[in-house]
Amino acid sequence: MKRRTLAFAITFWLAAVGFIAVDWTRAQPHNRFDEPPPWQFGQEKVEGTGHCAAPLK
Amino acid sequence: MAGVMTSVPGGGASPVGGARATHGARLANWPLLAGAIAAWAAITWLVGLRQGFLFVIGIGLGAVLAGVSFGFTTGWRAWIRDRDPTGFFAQFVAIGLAMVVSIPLIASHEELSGAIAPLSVSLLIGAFVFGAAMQIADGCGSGTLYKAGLGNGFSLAVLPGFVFGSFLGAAHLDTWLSLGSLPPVSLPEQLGAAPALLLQLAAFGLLALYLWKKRGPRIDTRWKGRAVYIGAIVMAAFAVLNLLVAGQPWGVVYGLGLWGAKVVSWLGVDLTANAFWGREAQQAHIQSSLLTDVTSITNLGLLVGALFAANVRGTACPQTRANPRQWIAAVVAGLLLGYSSRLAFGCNVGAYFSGISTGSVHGWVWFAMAFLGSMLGVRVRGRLGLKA
Repeated sequence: MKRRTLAFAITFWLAAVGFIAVDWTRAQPHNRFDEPPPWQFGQEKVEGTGHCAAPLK
Repeated sequence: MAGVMTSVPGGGASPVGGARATHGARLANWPLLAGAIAAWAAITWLVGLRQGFLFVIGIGLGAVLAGVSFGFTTGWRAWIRDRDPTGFFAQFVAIGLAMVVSIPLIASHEELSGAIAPLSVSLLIGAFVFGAAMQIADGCGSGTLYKAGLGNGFSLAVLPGFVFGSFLGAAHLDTWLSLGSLPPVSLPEQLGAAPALLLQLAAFGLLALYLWKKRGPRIDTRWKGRAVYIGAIVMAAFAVLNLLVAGQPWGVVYGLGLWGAKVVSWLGVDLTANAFWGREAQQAHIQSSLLTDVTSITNLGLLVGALFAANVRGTACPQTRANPRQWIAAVVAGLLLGYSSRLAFGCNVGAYFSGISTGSVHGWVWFAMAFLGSMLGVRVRGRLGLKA
């Protein structure tokens, strides 16, 4: 039983890492030098970030 | 009927049907810690400092949720079943503290946004359905994620449906909004920051007083000691940090829907004509790495933090036993959770926690409707044999 629960967890985490890796390879290349400031507080507002309470963005 | 083993405060497994609570497998802590640090370094190097910070904030949120078994769902169920107000009190502390900092910050800094959403028919329906489904699934937005992260099999069955449902709910949102909607109401914008803050604190105070007066005569609470309140304080701190770094409050379900939209796009479905996913900003998110998305990165951190905290406590990978009907219920509940949370402009995190803590009236409407739904959900849960 313990092996099965461990297998569940390992399968999930492998799937998650695989999903992120596949997504990274399929996504448009990201320019890491064109990043926003490390935090939003005190900076110019960044538009277009997704949030579940903002349906019309 | 065979019961399902579900996680409970304490982080382990609570059996239904008479079996003993047992913990599952335990992993070594150091490899997990090394993996988390490597993931943070990779995200920071590949994507940027902001996403790296948000990943760490997500880890903190996940660690708190799993570390003190902070349950939004179980907190409500403990009240409905046993008139135990402890879970509610901890939630009020967390939301109240986040609110005391967030509302003045947003009022004085235009670069920070609240979780302000319309008062729509879809909000009423979505919140009610979400409240019912979260009791069946034994997890809300954050709960499903953190339990999946620590290897709870039932939550692992809920999560894929949650992802697809969230994608689908967003895709259909414009149709639901056509049923009727009032504009968003931000209490700080309408009343001013201080009156809005006082009004909401008073509402929490009155609610807490009512719950205390109506508490059960002999409560054997699941949350012993001060840990859950300390967890609430730490959670509020991380939620405020999320606001400062991301510029928007903590959210969960947008990221899940985005993951679903990506998969659907990979399968060849053209989403450019969809009213929601076809928007320029959404198309940009779909075509960019999920590591660049604010909500996705905190979700991933939350998964990692929950696994690490549960493993340290020896409560990771709880054993799960369920009959076929209960597994089917988990999948269906996951779909409903995802779909309804998009109609309701958020789950317990995006609408209840972040909505109220930033002064949105939709957060209070969500709270009321989801609680009514939970009363139904607890009954359905009992009928399915999910009694933990």
